[in-house]
Amino acid sequence: MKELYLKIKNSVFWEKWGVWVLVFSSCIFYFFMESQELISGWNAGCNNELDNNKVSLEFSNRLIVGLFASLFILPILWIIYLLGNIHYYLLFKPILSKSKTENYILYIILSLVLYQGILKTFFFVDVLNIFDWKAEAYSGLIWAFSLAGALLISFNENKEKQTAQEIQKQKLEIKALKAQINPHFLFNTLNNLMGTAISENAPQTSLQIQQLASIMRHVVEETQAEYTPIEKELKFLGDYIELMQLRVPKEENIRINVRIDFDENSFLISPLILITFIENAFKYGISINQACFVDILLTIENKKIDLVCKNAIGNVENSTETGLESVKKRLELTYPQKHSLEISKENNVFEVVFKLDLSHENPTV
Amino acid sequence: MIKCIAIDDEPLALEVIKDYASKTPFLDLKATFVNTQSALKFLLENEIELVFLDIKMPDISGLDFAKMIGNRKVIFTTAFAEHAVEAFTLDVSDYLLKPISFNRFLISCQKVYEKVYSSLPAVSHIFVKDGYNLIKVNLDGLDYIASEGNYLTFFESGKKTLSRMTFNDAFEILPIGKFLRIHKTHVVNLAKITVVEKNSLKLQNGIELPIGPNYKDELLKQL
Repeated sequence: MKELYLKIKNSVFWEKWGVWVLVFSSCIFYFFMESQELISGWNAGCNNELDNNKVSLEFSNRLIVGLFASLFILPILWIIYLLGNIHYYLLFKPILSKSKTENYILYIILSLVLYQGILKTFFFVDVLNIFDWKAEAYSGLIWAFSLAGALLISFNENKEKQTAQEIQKQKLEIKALKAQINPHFLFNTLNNLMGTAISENAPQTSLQIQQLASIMRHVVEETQAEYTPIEKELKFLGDYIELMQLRVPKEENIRINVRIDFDENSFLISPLILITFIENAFKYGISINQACFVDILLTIENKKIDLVCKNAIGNVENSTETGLESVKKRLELTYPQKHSLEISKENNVFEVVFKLDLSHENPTV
Repeated sequence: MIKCIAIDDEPLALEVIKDYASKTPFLDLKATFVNTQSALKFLLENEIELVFLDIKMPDISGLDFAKMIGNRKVIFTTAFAEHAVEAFTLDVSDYLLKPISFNRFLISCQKVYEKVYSSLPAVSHIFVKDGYNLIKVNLDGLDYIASEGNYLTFFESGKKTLSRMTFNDAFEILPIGKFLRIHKTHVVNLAKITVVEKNSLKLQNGIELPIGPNYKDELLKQL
């Protein structure tokens, strides 16, 4: 139920099911308005009787009436779609594209003229008495449907426009990012920094630059590949962890434990999955003012990955967990049925238990 | 000794090669050049076996320059691997990605040495990283290497060096045929073995190491 409510709230529901809701409500309305006539008419037709007082139907007959009416669903659907389109392109788009008071007034007048005037006069005049409450109700219903249809269409169109704009924006962002990390510029600069460090006799600096470069290279190169050897991924994780440990002040109340075991059984893995959990642990696990810890235990045996990442919850407010969300999606797409991921928060400890079994997998690069 | 020169349009990149060459015992770096013209002139007048060559230079591509210098060995240095395929069709010796690490540099130079003299250079020591320090490990004094997690410990007489690397990394810089894996977690210096028992062996200094069942055959062959 909660999911359904959220779907309705997020308008996914209306995109998929909105039209059907309209159709079924119109059917119910139709039955409500016409049930007496339908039943008596059917009854009369079946029994060659025209006595209105003798209205009693067998269950099977009622069923036939119901099925007969449901045959109208498709034409009704089509009519709603048509009405919605007419309403949208005739009234919505030309008039309401500018939100001025005059436009609103014009819209109300025009829709009154069209639906109340023309519909009632020309469409129902022969069938029904123009002053009949039914004529009023039918034209009102048609107006409501066309309005709903038009709203749906305009909603969808706005959404399409928005997504198109967003995609455009993302493309621009990626382009800008790529320009900034042009690999030639980046790695040549890092090499030059290393040259400077060497000529200044600063060997630690030069090693740190190498490590940073190796991390950057892994990210730049492997994001283009679908799979990468586990050894490369592990070296990358090791470099990352070592650089992160340098950033953390060496104090007693900060405890970092890392243990990585690998049985040298080589295989290919989708890149940059494991780093998300480790990055997360360092990001939220390190606090300066209170005692904190990061525990990373990674065991890889027989192409089975077992990662336990624990950290003290430092600053929860800043945590958006977008990294974890996106890695979840990637795992569902890349390794369905092959992984398990448990995330828990208990006693101020954040724990990720990730398992991935690739013993039956054999991807090629 | 291998006589070599280095060409790169960026002077700081040449500093790196100068430093590494000075740490490599069998390498003699004669000169460095920031432009290819004076390098070409030097190559005509001197006997040079190896050229460290940058690929992306302003006036001429390293790939084109490599075609001009005859059958001298070439090690390309570049920031990004987009020319890798083309470089290998030129039959170059190796390909170093900037920023170059010393171990990677050493491995390339050993390859060249092997090609020029068809024997391995006599390596008396290697450098391993202990945190952010490069530690010299004398191979004659190295008894064995043990692995734990993703770290290796190099046991020399009276000295231990811990370094984050795998056995595969280590075998790339260790001289071939002098060290052998005898267990999932142990590599031993063959020259130091005194006694081999059924499931273990003893070293000169009395230390006993286990032998893994999968490694025993190879060990017996090597002795």
